[in-house]
Amino acid sequence: MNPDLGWLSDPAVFRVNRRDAHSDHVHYRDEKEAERGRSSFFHSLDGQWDFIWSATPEEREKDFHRPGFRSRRIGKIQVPGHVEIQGHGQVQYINTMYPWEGREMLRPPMVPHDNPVSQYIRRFDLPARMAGQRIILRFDGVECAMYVYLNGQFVGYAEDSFTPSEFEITDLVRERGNRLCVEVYKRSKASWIEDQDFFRFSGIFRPVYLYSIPSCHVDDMWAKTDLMRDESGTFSLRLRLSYGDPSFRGRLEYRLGDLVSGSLDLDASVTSWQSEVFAIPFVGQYHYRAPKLYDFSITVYDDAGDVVEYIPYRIGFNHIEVENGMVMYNYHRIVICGVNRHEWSPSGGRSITLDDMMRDIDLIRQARCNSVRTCHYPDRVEWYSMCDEAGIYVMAETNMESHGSWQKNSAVEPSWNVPGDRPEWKDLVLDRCVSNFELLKNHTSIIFWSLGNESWCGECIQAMNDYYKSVDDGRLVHYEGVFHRPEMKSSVSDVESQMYAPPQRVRRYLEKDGSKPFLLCEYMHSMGNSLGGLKEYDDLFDEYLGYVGGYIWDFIDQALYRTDEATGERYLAYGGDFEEKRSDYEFSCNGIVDAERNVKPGFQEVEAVYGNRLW
Amino acid sequence: MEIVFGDVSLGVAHDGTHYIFAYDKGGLDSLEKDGREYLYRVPYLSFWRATTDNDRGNGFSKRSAMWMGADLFSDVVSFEATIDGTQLTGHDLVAPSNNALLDSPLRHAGAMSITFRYSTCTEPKAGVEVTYSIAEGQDGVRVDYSYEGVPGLPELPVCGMRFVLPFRIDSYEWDGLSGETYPDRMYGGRSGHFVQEGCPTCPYAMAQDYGMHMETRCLDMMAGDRHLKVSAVDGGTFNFSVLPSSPHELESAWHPVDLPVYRRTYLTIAAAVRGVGGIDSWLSDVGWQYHVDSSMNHRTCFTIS
Repeated sequence: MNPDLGWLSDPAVFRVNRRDAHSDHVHYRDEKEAERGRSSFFHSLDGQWDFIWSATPEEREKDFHRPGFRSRRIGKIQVPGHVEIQGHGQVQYINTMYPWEGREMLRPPMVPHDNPVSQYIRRFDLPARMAGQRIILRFDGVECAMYVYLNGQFVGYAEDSFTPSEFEITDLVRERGNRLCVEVYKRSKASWIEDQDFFRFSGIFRPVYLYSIPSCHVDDMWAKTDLMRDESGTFSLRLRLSYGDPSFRGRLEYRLGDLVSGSLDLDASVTSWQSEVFAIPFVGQYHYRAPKLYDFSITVYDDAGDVVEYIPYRIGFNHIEVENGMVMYNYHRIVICGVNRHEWSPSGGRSITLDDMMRDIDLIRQARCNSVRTCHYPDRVEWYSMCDEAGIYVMAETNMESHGSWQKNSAVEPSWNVPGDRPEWKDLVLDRCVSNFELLKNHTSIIFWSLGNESWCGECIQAMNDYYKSVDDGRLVHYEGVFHRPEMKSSVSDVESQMYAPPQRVRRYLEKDGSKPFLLCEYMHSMGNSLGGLKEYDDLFDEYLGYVGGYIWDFIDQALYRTDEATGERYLAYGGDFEEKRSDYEFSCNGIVDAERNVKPGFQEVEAVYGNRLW
Repeated sequence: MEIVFGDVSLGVAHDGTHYIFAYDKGGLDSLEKDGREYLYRVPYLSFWRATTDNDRGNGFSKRSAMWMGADLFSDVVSFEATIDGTQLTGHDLVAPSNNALLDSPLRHAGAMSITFRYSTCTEPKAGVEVTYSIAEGQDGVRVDYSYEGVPGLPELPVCGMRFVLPFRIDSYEWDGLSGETYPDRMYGGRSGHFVQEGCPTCPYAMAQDYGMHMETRCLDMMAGDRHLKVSAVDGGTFNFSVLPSSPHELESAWHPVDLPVYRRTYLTIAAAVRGVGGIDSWLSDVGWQYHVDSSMNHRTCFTIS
């Protein structure tokens, strides 16, 4: 297939040669290597890359991926990182309006002419330990559409900025002198459904790496558990396998702590496998106050008995369901004291480090929260394991928001909403659900799949809801936007989700309707000097069994370091400080912590209200 | 204590502190302890807080904009004093009537008070009365603040007095609630003794009101060898903020970094404070029980020493 710029505006094309999504397990050479925590199957490509930036597609270097390409325009850029923060193109914060507001008149799926192109070039040699093996190239996050080339050949195309994209490059990669070229577009039709309330960036902003696949590899696993009312548990394992060596013969062993173990014989004909459902007489529950996790492992042996790969994972047992108008967690009514979290750093924007994430976990615990909503995209994949360990329940959101397509200047006006009922968008948005689910399905901390945020409601969202329901009977589905289409409420979302409802509106729902448990997916807008009245929401827990709780908006201010030209002093700049138009200005700063992660004054209120309720 | 019947002011020397009440400026113009001055100007009547994001979002500042002017400008209508039980009108105190006081025994008194009446620069006008009292056996000066409401004015963001201290402070300590508290955000405030090092800078990305402390029993401000104490009276409490900027400086700044260099300290003692709200930042009002009704009376009292 030849790459085509028409894909950018064609809803039917959103992945070309991109591998199917799979679980986020990491494979190691053996148990010892896993204990050290660095897999030698992996090779990072992060660092300084060659780079050409063009304001429009016409200005890009069309031959940059061809061998022998030379240009004086080539500069350097740090990967991962947004290109705007590194001096290429406009930094812009805007909420619901599309970023081209007032500059170009467009309707979905049109793509603006103002569409900066980032062309990345990375030379690499294959590490000796990877030579001769199947090689996968993986991007953890690229905003918002990319064409990938290796050694002059087209590799593939992907969108979905916040989801890993993998390409198999076994046939194209050489041992030495590889030239990886990535052409990243700031805008595509996906921009219509990536209209989250945030700074609008582009580029390769999460890690990039290669990994190799040994002679036999677990491509995908689902270690599925359930907790029964009598504290017994069930466990089953589903595997998808592939083989670097078609003549492979060997064995796979799996073990869940001291609870379950088993094995199966393998040859290249075994590409999928499903275990029986094991019943375990007693398991410790996974609970925010006691986030008990069991060590799970898979070991693949070859026929000589040598370890081919070793996969560790941490698995817990919980049970979530809706019963009698309440959300029940481990057979008790759940109480969600949550916070929405954007990924943020004042120096890197949404390109954050593991240290940033560890600090977020600590602060979220310090605020006494028991749940986080990944507004409104999948986070860096490491986040979910951190939440597993910390006992922070996760609402895992699909990467979707099309706010500007149905709400204009605060008025509800869905005349050209996407994805809406448009059949040509259905596969695209469903792919985002598949990626979210397949990547994250093993994380015990995830209790809700969310269809994204503020995208109105229609047949596409119905299909997303139905997809999650069809693949996972152990978690609930959340979506707020059906609020605007009450006739669809019976078939979309397991909970009545609203945002910024005053306490009286919550009461009215629970007293007058009450057909579903009530959740505030966003409440207590913590912009500036705010968080007044938090306690009044807390009182709802005592008044109504159907009140599930809510997620404060939000965790961290979105502001970037900038230097005051008059004084040379560094300060935290918000929307509009980059002279970008249009912008929603200071509306980017709604955190319970500031952009530098200092707790804001209202933090002690969250600590006290959530602390008294939960701990 | 010694009373000085000036032509334009009333001086009081008591317990090592010298006070000058200015008839023309309408209030306490000087508080001098150990040869150091503690006041830059007579206190402002405080009617404004720098618009918070929620105030802007729900339109409060637009509805109540009249109070912003009233905060900057006020009108002294009258004043009178009582010294050892003798009532002296404004007329009695100024020239030439004060000639009669040259040999008065009131120049050495056991107790004095002086009351200033103000009219707010609003339409309609509300009244404010501030009484300063000093007595033998009492520490410092007691201040009784009383706002007398009238119907027809918009709701108040805050209502009290603002003292401008002509120096920077090193720290302050208070007995009351931890952290920053407002009427609708006090649940998380723990009761105790707390220390703030330095004068607190604006913790919000967009400059706006901050730093209120509700239900305080005692406040101590330290500035080099200067020390100023505010205490509650008769087991009551007061609300205060100590900021390096005026509400108008904060109102005009986009970022904390835009604010003027910290030179002087703004101590606000508030009889009433509007809640900050939180339901959203674009529509919802602050809970009704946290509004400050301008047709009601609002009072506070405290001593400064």
